[in-house]
Amino acid sequence: MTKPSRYTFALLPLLLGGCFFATKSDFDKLQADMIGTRAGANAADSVQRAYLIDLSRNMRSLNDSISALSKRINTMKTASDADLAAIREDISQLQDLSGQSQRQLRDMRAAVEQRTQPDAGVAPDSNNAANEAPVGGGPGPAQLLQAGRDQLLKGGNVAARAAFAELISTYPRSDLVPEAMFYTAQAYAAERNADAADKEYASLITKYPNSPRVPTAMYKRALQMQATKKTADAKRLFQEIIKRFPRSDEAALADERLQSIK
Amino acid sequence: MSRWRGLAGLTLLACVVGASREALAQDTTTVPGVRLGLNYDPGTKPGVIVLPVATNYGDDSLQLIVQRDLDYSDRMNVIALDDATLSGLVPPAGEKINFPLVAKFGAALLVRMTRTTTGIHVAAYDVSRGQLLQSEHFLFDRRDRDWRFVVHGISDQIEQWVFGKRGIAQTRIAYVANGELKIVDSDGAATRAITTGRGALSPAWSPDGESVVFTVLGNTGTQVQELDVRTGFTRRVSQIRAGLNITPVYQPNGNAILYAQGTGSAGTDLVLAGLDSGKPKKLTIGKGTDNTSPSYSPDGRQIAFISGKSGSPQVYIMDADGSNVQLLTAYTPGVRSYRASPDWSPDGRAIAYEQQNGNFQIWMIDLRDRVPKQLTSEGENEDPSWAPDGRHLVFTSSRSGEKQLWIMDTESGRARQLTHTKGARLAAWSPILANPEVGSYSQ
Repeated sequence: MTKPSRYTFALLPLLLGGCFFATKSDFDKLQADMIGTRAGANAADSVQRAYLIDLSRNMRSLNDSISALSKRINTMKTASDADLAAIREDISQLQDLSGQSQRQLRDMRAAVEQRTQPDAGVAPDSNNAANEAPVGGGPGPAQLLQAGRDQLLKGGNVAARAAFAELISTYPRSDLVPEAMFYTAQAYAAERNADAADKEYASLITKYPNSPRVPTAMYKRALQMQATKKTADAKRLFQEIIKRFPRSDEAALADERLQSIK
Repeated sequence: MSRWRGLAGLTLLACVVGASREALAQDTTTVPGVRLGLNYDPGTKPGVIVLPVATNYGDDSLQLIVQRDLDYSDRMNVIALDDATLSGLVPPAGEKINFPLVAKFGAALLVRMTRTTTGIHVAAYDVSRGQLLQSEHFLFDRRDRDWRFVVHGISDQIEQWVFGKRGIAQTRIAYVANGELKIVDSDGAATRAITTGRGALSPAWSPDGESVVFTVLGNTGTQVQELDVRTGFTRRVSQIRAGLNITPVYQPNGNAILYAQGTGSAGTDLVLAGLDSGKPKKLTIGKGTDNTSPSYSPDGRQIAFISGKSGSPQVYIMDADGSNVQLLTAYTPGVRSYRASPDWSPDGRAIAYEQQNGNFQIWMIDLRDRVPKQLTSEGENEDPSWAPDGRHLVFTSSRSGEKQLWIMDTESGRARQLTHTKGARLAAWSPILANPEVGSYSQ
């Protein structure tokens, strides 16, 4: 072993000791570093906290916006519901009033017919005979309809049917024929002759498919089918009412009956 | 053997027929050749004098009741004379009635009631002819609880003899006062409560007049109950579940109850429930609107009701199956109008209802020409209900200062106060009653 290596061994603890025994400046530096690091971390925390606060604020405002939007949507929905209800009421009013107007027009026609009734013995105009004008001094179609309805009201079902039959045979092209057929069926129903009533309703549906009486006639037929245990036929007819006349009262009733059949 | 049996049977039948004829002859005596009814000018009311009744109780209440009933019929003019004059018209035993003298007082009819050991013998005389018009014996005992009912029956029979149509004295009116259900005779006497407790609403009579259906307001809504008037027994109509169930009426055949059932935001619809079985059936589909206050036509083929489907409550009619709905009361769109409480007349020709013209008034609409007619104008008048004669209406009126029941003759407009109980309302006039019994309330 040589001399320099011996010095080396002697200096080794000192050299190593330098590693374990830091100087004050080292400590200061380390402390400064630690403070810096901590400050950095704190700063990062603050930023994060700020972010979080910001986020939660945003969330809150988003929530507020959503709830405001939802309120607005609800308000709009209520408004549109109210609008829809108002529209529905308007339609209903129109339907009601048009029904009343039709009736008033019929009454007026009956009155006019009565006033313009030609003297007995005067030959009827062949062009109008089958239409509107009273034939041969006899009552006009509106008069016959009114007379039949009056009889129906008094319970004179046979007399009522006779008046309606006269209307149909004397004025086959009158627009009051579907009404006369409908009331004929009503008169049969009042006499508890369900089969005859059903036949008359069926005839009305076939001959005058555009008459406003058709949904009612169909509904009455379907009820009759249900009463006679023809459930499948009744079901089909109820469905047809809903399909063909979705806005009618009878469609709503048919829907109700269908639910009870299920 | 069988021949003998047959002969015995025939003999027995002959005896029964003979006995019946004899009984009939005792009860009803008709002078041969005298036709039914009186001679009087159309549009006028025949004058009638009711002679005092010699009774064992020392009063003439029978005479007063009959006089009042005939007066309230609005078909006769009751001639009121003082006691001395009336006594002068009663012939001494064995002497004839002085018809020329009776005629001088303007009477066309003279009614004489005589007490018998078992009741009252009633004779009606045609004054102008000086002849007996009709007579009949009525079983009667003043000690009976329902003796007034028998006397009302006499009045109604007199009207039958004169006009060929029975009167309405033998009817009652059910109504609500302070939440209790009460009934009163048609002349305003014999008021009695038929329910205890509070919350009774909307009474309606059964077609036979033996039951009343009504709603009871409770914590969980309203429940429909049926009360047997004779026994006082009340039962809940089991087909009708708890909830909002209002304005019940009987179907004219008495087998089912039609009422308005509330379904929250879905509005109120008319529902028909069998009394004993079957699932209730919806007759209107209101789609969020209110459909209430049904009233059947007498033949049961149509229903009048109130619907708000066009915005404000109006009277509609429909077929009994719910189809063929028609607006009955005309209105002007945009003008706020309110109509309620329709009641179909017993002759089927008109519907009475209430209408708001600032305050409520009673109106009626003829079903033939559909022309409405205002019947009342004094005070506030609501909830009309027809008498079985189709001529008189009972309704709630504030014309006396507080709400009371009043009766009006729709032909003459004459009105009279029926009740004097504070808060009387929601009246329902019974059909002509066959049974006078009223039980005490039980559940």
